[in-house]
Amino acid sequence: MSTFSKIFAALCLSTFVLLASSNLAFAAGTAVNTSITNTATLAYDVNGIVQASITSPAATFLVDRIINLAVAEANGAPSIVAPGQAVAVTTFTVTNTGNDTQDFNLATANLPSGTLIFNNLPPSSDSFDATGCAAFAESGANAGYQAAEDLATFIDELAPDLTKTVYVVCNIPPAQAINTVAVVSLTATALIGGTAGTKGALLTNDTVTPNSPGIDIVFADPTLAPNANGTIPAQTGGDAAATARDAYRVVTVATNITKSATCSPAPADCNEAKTGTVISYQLLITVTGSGFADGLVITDPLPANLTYANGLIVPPSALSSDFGATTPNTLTVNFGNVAAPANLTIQFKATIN
Amino acid sequence: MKSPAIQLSKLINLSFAALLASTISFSAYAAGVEFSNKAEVDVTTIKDGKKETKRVAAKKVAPDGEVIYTTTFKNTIDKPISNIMITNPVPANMLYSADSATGANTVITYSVDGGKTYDAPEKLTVAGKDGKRRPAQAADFTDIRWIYKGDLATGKSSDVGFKAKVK
Repeated sequence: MSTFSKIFAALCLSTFVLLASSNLAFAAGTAVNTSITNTATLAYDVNGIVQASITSPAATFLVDRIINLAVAEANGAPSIVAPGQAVAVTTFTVTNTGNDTQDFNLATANLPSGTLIFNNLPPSSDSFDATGCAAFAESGANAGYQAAEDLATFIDELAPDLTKTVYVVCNIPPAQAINTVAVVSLTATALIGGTAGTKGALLTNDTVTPNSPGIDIVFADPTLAPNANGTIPAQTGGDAAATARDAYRVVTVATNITKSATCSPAPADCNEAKTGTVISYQLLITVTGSGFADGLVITDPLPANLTYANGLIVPPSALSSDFGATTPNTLTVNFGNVAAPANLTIQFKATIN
Repeated sequence: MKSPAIQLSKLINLSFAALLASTISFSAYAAGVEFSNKAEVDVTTIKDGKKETKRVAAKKVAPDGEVIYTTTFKNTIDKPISNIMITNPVPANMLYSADSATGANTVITYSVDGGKTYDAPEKLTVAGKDGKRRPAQAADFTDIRWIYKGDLATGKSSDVGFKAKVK
């Protein structure tokens, strides 16, 4: 057989094999139960006469089920909360890095006092416990934790390579001191999948004996060293479970408003309140403490017998401002979320009727 | 020489007999060459505090598990056979393990194009993500070819093999 015809024969066979075994490959590993087949081809001569090339029958095996997962803290920073806050949320992700669809149990825990986290964002040491913590899987309806939607307490039927967002929701004790930290953890454990809407039972790690009947279940989650910012603790591998940590940091923000007025044509006119006097009002809003004053909206009703005059001045950071549009005869300025500390000044004018 | 029809029926009958004889290690016979191909795994167990590694037939393998493929050929006719060439594709969902191909008295070359062309590893290139050619790596190999040097005498057998990991 010429080299060319040998190569041609081999080409035909290998092309056939490639077509016949084009299974989908997953980054998480070849899908469970995939059949992997191998066929060799032999070409040879006898007495210089080319013989028909022969193929070996297939050597075939099936791919076992590996169980693997990754749990991570979502945003690299503690959740900023207020004393007494209910529905304080930390966000995690759970990724199925195994090769089959699984359910995942979700469990939360408070870490002991002194547990370090987010070393780059002091204070970073656990000093109190959040209460009533529970974990909920994102329903997919609306992003972010929605108490009315995200009710599932386990992850149902997560396919290989897919990631699910999980919220740990706690309460912060009333009168909790400023700058105290609570470290919480989320542990996800792979469960038997296959039945939508039903939480599967625990998996059993089969001893890896290739000749045992049925597909083996192999716990392949790795042993992990703690990461730099403390969101991944040290953990043993091969237990079908993975853990990540997040934290709450308590801040308080105080807002204060002072109002002053000057009158024209002369400051003394303020005392006499004559018709036609123009009053210039100034509102000074101070935001002190640490954290954010969320949804800061300033409203100021105009006293009777005054008419709003042109000359409204608000800081550029204001999201919107109007006089009388939101509420009749009332100044409304919306600042949105204001980082403390901040000083905000609003000026407007009114004329005495 | 027998007619092709007789040869074919003999091949089918013998292959069927081989199938009955073993579900793990198959053999094919054609005009006097015995040809088999097997997939095996090394299993390590700890017995009396000592590690024992056994090579057993691969029936099920987890991702990242390494499989040892061994192809055996034997001359069962009364004349030497020559120009022996064995080709074996790296199966889909598997990655060839670097430097694992073996074969006594053979020249081993590799393909990165599904068996269209073969060459020595250092001469093979594949298209990189940037569109430029880059040197091929073990994971790029799609097929392996062994060319046996010289004749294989009557009654003699030899084997070639390689290792690959499940993706």
